[in-house]
Amino acid sequence: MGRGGSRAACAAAAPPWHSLPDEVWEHAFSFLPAAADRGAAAGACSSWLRAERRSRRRLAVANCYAAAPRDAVERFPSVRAAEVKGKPHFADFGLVPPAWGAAAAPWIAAAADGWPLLEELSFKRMVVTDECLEMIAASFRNFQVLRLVSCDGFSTAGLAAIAAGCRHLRELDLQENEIEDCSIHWLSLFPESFTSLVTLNFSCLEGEVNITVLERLVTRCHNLKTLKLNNAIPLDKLASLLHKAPQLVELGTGKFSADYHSDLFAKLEAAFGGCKSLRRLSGAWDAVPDYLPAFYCVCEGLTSLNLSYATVRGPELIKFISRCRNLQQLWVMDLIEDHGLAVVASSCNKLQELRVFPSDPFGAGFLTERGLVDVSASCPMLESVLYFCRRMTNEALITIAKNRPNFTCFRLCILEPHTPDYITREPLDAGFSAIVESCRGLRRLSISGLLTDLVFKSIGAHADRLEMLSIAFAGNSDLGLHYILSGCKSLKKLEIRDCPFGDKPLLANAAKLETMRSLWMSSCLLTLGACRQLARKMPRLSVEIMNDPGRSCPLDSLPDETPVEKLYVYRTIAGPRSDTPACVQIV
Amino acid sequence: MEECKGGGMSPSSSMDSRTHPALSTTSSAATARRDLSTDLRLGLSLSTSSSSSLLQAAAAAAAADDSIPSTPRNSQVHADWPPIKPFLRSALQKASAAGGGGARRRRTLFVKVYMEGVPIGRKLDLLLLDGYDSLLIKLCHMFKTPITYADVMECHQQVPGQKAAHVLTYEDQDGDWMMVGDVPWEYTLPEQRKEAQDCKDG
Repeated sequence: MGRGGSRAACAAAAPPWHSLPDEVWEHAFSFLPAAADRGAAAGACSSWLRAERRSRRRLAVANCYAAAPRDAVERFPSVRAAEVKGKPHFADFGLVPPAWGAAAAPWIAAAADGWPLLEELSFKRMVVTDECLEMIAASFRNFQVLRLVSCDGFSTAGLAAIAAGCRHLRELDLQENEIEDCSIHWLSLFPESFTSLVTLNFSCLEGEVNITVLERLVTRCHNLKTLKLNNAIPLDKLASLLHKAPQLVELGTGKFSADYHSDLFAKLEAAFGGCKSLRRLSGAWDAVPDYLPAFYCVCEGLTSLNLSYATVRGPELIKFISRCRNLQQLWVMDLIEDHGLAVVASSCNKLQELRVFPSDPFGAGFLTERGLVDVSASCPMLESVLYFCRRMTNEALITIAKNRPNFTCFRLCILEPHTPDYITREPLDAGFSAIVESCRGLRRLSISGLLTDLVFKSIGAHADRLEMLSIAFAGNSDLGLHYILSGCKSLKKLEIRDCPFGDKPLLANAAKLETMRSLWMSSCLLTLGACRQLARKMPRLSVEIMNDPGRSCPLDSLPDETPVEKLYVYRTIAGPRSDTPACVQIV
Repeated sequence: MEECKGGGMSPSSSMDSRTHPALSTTSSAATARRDLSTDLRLGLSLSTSSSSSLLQAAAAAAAADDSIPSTPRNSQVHADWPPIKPFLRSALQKASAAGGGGARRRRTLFVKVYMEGVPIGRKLDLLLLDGYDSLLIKLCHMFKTPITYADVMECHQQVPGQKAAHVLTYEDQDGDWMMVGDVPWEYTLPEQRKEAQDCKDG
């Protein structure tokens, strides 16, 4: 559409812009993909609001209880792709009661009624039952993408329903779900005529799959780009699968261990040699050093390497990673050790994201501050870090902050809570303050180690763009929480555990909570009385408390000074939810 | 055969004031059980001791359980700390139980074993054993002492001159200390039987 033409038309007829037919606006809005832009535009006038909601194709609901499913479906009738998230983030670490809620069923039921043309569904941290999956398979005639992340409640029977019913499926992406294994035959329910698969990820599945059926499926899906196998797929089968799908861009291997046989090694090496397009590699479960060189021929092309489940260590691991010169993303266990990270620093200059996980969660940890300092000094594009280590210093954090002011995500976990700077024995306040002061674009921050309220003063004052903050075992008084809630202009999610923060800062900053998506506080110093006041003061907030399962007496009978073990506050336009289990009570 | 790193703890770390067997342990039992892979405890009691000293062995085991940190870290261990996803956590537990780096993942059932009067325990994986006899051989080796259990003891009584110094006991689901050997090996851990079979199959 030429600009001059439209301007001329305006000049000739000069219709007021808001009197254009809705269809025109709906078409115009189709060129506006970002949800935030659409939201802003929708606020301009009623015709834009109408046009925007009618033309919305993608909907992301960050909290399944923030809106009622039926209302969402009614408001955005043309949605083709929906993403819904459930439990609080701390559910990942076992802090949320297992029966907390976040059922996907109401969303699927509403979608089945209102969005018959739905093509994509993503659920994160939700309970998805087999009935849910059966309903998906039966309800949407052009369904293409199912992505389940950290969900539970379903079995391979539900997957069988998806395989049998979704004739146009492109992506079946199962990430870190707890899946009950009832039958190995679910893959065989993909019809023989079915060839549309682009992504197949069942890496989290515990049980076996029928390998012959998998091979046939991989052979006939010529567009398959992502294949992530589970631990049950043996190494020799990987080689034959790769021969059938040399076009793969992303591969999650199965079990990467076997007794060493030179012919198996040669077969694997040849198979990888054929995968010219491979960019992302993961899996490598139980990888044994002997077989790592089979990867060498794809190293150069890799941009992403996830070895977070590979308990391999030693010179073979380091040699392997050092060949991946184009890595942008590296996830690895701390078995790499500081000297391994030094090699990463010198070899992988394009690194953007580094995650290092602890190989022994209850041990002291293998890494020190040195590994991170080295990587931060040599990788100019590094902007996201998750790092588990056993010790840290303020000096190191200051150096890291100076090296990489471009951090958007900085998550540091010192394994032992309350660990001070191991040289000066000082709190790590100065170090984390340096991070928030230099990294002005920081959006996500997790802090650990010995920390006083001072660090929160700095975070509150400087972290203007921070959206998510995780705090554990830190601070020394209410002041700490007050600094955060009265500062941090862009904060959306705040999660706190085991901190001496009480009622006062929460009530003093109650209005802030309405601008945020959610607040989690567990093992702090909150009382029921404050939660009651908060709920009264802010009717649009849902104030949920969770106490020990042994103490499920009705809230009304408890006095105000009753301590609250877990608090979860979120804004909602749907009112209090009705599916709370006994361990959760809404104030 | 794998044994947990915790077994090699230095004696000095276990000799704090709380290690004395006579201490009451009821209040600390909950925190002592954080290590979920160790649901069952075995005790080694002197064969000459009466049933009351068997109970004392139980108390000794429980007290020692609480006072000896099972990890190199000093402070209280939080089951939900460090913040890693359960998927990774369980993968790691399997991997470390299978012998650490590079070893194949498998199911395990570690139990703690204490000898009466000795505050420092040992850990061993029952799923690596195929019966009471192999358990006995393993324990004799670990504790450098002759050990017996109910079944064998009856035979031994008929053979004078040959006597075992320690009897093997276990704590059942009701918290009672029982003689090992009265039920078939496969039924020793009813709720774990499936895992045991899975292990063999896998």
